[in-house]
Amino acid sequence: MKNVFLVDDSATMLMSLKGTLEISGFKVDTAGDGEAALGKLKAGLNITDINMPRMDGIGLIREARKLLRFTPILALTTESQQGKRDEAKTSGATGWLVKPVGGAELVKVIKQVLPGA
Amino acid sequence: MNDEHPAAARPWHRWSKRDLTLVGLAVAGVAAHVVAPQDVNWLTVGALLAGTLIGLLLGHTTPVPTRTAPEAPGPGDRVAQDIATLRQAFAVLKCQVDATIQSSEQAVMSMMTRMNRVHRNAADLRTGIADAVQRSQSLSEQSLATADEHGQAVTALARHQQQLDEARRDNLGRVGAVADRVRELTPLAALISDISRQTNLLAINASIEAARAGPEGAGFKVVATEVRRLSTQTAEAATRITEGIATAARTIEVEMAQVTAASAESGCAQLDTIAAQIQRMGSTLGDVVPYLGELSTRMDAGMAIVTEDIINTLGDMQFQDINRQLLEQIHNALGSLSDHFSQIYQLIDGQAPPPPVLLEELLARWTDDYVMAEQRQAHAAALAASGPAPDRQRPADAAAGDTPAAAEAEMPVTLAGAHGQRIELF
Repeated sequence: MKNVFLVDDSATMLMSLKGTLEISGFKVDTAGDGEAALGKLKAGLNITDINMPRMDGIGLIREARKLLRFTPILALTTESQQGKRDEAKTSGATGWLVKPVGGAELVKVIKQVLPGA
Repeated sequence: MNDEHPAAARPWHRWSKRDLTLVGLAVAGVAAHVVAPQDVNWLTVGALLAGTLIGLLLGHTTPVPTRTAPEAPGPGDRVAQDIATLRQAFAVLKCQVDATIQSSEQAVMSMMTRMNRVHRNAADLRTGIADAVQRSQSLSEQSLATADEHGQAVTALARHQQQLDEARRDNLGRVGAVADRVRELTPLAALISDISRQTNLLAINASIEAARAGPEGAGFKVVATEVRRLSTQTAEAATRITEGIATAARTIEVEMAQVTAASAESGCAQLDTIAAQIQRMGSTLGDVVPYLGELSTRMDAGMAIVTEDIINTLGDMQFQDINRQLLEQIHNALGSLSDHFSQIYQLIDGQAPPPPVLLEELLARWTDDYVMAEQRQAHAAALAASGPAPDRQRPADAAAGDTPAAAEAEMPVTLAGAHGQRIELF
């Protein structure tokens, strides 16, 4: 069972994604912002929101890349500015998904970035 | 208008006539003393000042009933009053927005909890049914194999029974032949009986001849008498033989009839019936096994559809997060408007300098908080629909260089396509 770590300041987003991924057979852990997520990052797959209090998603991606060089990290956000997307890319994000993302669509993307999932 | 502000806390141009009269009397008293100190002594001035202070203090605790004041508020008063109330209006709207966010979040989380529970129950049910189907399938396959073995055994038994029946029929045929041969002995008994009768006639004739011979025939008479007695015994023996043959033949026929009757319900027929029943049972089990397999397949397919629907419904619930962000932006915008108009109110009262930016710039700064393309599109569409901004001279401090924030707000923002590139893997 593959691990997925979700970071989002929205309780409903965490619940939606956790339910979707657990039903699809993943083991899921969560955190409410980047700072809370720092000590819990997983070697499986990390999915983070971008606009969050305390530490935003781009800061988290930057910090995460110091620890997890090859672990896929996806940004899942409502943010639409191309600059933020480019910044996430240069910080080491594996992909960029704009909310809302359907459950089946999300699982399909995860299977692309997480071989064997 | 029910204005409860004390006179001292209001600008002079908003004081009531009573306040102005009292202050005027005090000023006049002081001026009279300055101009003619000999005519207006300090006691009079002091009395006027004390009266003014008492009047003003009474004005602090006793609201001036405007209704009783015949004068109507001027346009400036109305604008100032409404601007003061705007802060309350904004606070109410912000509370309403907060309540909307909270209620939608609770509703969505409750729905998601239920969806997760539905899926858990459906999954448990599917597991239970799958186990039952698997066990039924296993039992059916075992029963099918057992029925096949029983069928083969019964077929062997039936074959053996058939051989026994054939042997019994052969035996019956042989016994029937024996009975026929026994019955064929009956004419021999009749022949013996006929010989006995003729022997008896001979004995009678011999006795007659012995009597005619007189004493010389006495010996012959004894022989004739013995022959006649032997003839009688022979006749009796022939009769018993005839009866014995008839009895033996009848006994054989009865036995054969009983054996034939018994063979009508032979084991072979019963075994055929059992074999047919086993075959039917096997056929039924043969239908059950593929049916269970099909049931299992259909159940898996149905569960896959339920799971996909639940997953997509959970995904749809993300709308709440999007709406929350939209409402939070409105909440923040209301807060900035509230602050802006509070500063405007203080400016009218002469208690504060003008707000740092014009409302037009404040409106432009809202775009800094937008994260979604839809927010920017809606902003631009609303501005376009409401026409161009009024052409007014900006205050010198604001117009001279434009603040960095305002300049940044006017810079074009490159957006990801509203409908394209929703998912991009780098």
